[in-house]
Amino acid sequence: MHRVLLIEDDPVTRDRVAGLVRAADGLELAAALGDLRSTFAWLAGHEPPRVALVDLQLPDGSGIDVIRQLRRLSPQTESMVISVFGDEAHVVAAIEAGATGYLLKDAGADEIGPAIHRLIAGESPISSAIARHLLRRFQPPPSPPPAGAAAAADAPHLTPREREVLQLIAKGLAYQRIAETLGMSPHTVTTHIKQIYRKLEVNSRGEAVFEALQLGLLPPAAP
Amino acid sequence: MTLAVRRGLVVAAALLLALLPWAGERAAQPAAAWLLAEARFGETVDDAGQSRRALPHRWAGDCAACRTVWYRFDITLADLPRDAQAVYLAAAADNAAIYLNGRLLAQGGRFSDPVARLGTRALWAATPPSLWAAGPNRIDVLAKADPPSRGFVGTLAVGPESELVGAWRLHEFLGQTLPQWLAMAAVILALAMVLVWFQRRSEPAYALLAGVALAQALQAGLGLVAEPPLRAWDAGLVLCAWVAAAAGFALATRLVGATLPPAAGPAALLAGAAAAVAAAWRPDWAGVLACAPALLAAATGARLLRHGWPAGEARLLVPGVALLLLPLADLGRWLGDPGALPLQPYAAGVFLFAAAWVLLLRFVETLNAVELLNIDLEALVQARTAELHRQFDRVRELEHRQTVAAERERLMRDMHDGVGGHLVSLLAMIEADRRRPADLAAAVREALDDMRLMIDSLEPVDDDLNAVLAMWRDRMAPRLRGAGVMLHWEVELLPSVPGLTPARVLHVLRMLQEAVSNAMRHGRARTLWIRAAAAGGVRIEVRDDGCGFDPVAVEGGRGLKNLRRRAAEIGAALAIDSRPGCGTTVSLELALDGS
Repeated sequence: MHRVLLIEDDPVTRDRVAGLVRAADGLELAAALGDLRSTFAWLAGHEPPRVALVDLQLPDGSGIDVIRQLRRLSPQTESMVISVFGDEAHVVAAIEAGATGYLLKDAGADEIGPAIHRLIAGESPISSAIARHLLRRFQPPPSPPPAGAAAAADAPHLTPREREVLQLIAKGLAYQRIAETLGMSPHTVTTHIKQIYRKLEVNSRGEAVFEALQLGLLPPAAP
Repeated sequence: MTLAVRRGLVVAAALLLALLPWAGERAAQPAAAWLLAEARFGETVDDAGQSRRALPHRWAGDCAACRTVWYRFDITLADLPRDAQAVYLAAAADNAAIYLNGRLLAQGGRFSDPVARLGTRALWAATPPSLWAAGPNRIDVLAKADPPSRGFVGTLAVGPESELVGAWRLHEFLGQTLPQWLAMAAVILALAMVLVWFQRRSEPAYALLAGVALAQALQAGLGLVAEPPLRAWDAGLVLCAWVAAAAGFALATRLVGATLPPAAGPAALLAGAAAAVAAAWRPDWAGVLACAPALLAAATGARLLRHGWPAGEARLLVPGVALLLLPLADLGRWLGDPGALPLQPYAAGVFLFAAAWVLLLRFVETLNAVELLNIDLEALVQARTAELHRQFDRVRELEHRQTVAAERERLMRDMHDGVGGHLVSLLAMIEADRRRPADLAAAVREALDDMRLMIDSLEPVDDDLNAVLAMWRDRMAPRLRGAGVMLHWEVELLPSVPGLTPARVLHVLRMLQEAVSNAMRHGRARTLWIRAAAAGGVRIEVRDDGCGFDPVAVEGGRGLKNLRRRAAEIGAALAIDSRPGCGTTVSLELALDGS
């Protein structure tokens, strides 16, 4: 049984999603919480869950903080954003914090269980809109970056393969077609996607460190 | 110090400057003890001694037609002089020669016509004691003038060389060297002014000053020629004086800010030329003809003084005083001692340099004013630039507001078509209290889906129709899966479709949505094929295996009407192919030229 932690501020939605998780095979609802404070309190006193379903807009802050905290506490925990629209602005911000998937809040009973199981199996969902966003995000700078951008330059880049995968996803090709086109197994496609998610997270951390250095918040590393 | 006092001091300084040589000349007079102020006058050397005359002597009064005359001085020495003795004739016109006891001591040049001019040159001879005799000695002075009317002989000084040499040197300096220097300086000034004028043709003041200076220098140069090649040499002097006076008058007119009629220049030149011709024809008129320019100069000076004194430019006083002195300076030579040094070169020099000084000051003031103006102009340009930026910002702000307003209007329309409609039907269901939760849920889902399509349509797609189709599929695949409908996605990579704005994207998304929900709702389809391929334009096809319908019979259906309206709005060709029992194919053809 995989323990699932649910954080959602709207009680009706929370009850609905909690019910769907309880009903799903192989999943166990560890807790259903409504704000940051109680979540951090719960995390302090319990074993981390296998999967966390996190709403981003909470009354006392952003669910991004929960995702980030979970990445620190328990790297094997998978975080999923639950969002009304699954729009790339929310989802990409969550991926940068360490989330590996997203769920729509109105997902039906037959969708939530399988989606969580696919995530545990290492398969991250990705829409064409998010793929396009990631392609723009990882676009190499048009000219060599000026001095001082070393941290940004050290940030991970997409491999040509990963870029091809994203391009085909952005074009709306099914995983099967992508695998055929690129001569790989469908499983490899999902591995690539997870890999890209991790790079986005690392990349955003690199940018954060670089910005902190720029602002003088961190001492520069000794040469 | 009041203004009047200050101006008075300026005038006094100018007077002193111009009269300095006059004072100098007083110092250049030999001591009275050595002057011989009386001589015996005769028309030939033989009858010299008949009548005694005081010196300086204009001989025209005694003999109006005599071109040559003789003066005799008798000097009786008790003993032979021990030192060298000097014989010094400070002034005579036109030419003179000095003999001591029949021996020629000194002469001013040629005596044949045209006769040489002594001008301001003095005759000087230092004699060894051996030329003198104890007892009576005789000094004869031969003088020649052409015309005779201006002939005169000044006082003769005889004495030890050491006593007289200082006076002679000072006389030479004031009468020859200094005027030469002034003439040279005038030439240089004229060249400088001509150069300035070449750069600034619009300001004739520089050219006029150059003209005055050149005429002045030329007049001085002509006057210094010892042996003129022509009898009519004075005509040149007259012409120069006229040109200098006329140009000076024009210059002063400009300095006081007035203008002359355009004919004034040629008229003045013509008058000058006429005067010169007259002087050439009747050399004895030359003196009178030279009076007119002197009077003109005085008038010019008076004009400068009148303009400079009460409230105008004080610096105009100096050239004004100098010009006033011009005729006055030589009045003494007409009325009194004809051998006095001419002051004209000095007064003219003071005028030239004072006028140049005024021009220079005005030039510098103009430069300064231009610099200030430039600073003002820069500030003005900056202000204008800032204003332009503000206007640009305002325009941009307005454009932005218009864009927002247009977008808002579009969103409102789209929401009215979509979410609004869904919510209204939802409300109708709830009010009818049919209590069919599944229908309610479906209606809410449709509303949510429509909102998601709207959000997706705002995504920049860079004219990529594949991306648009993929967005629809990402949204709708879970729904179709949940409804148990099989989706065959047969979309090829498509060329880019120009002009895929959010509005057009939303139309495409909604048409797909409409076609698919028609297939599911009315046709109860179990399988869907969505195809897209490039074929001239781009062809999108939605085919289902539902029960189909008779297009003619359901022409007025709301779903079909919506499809047609949207196709028309994006300029796409719509075809609906259906027969009862054989499924339905909705196909949409988009042109690639962006129309």
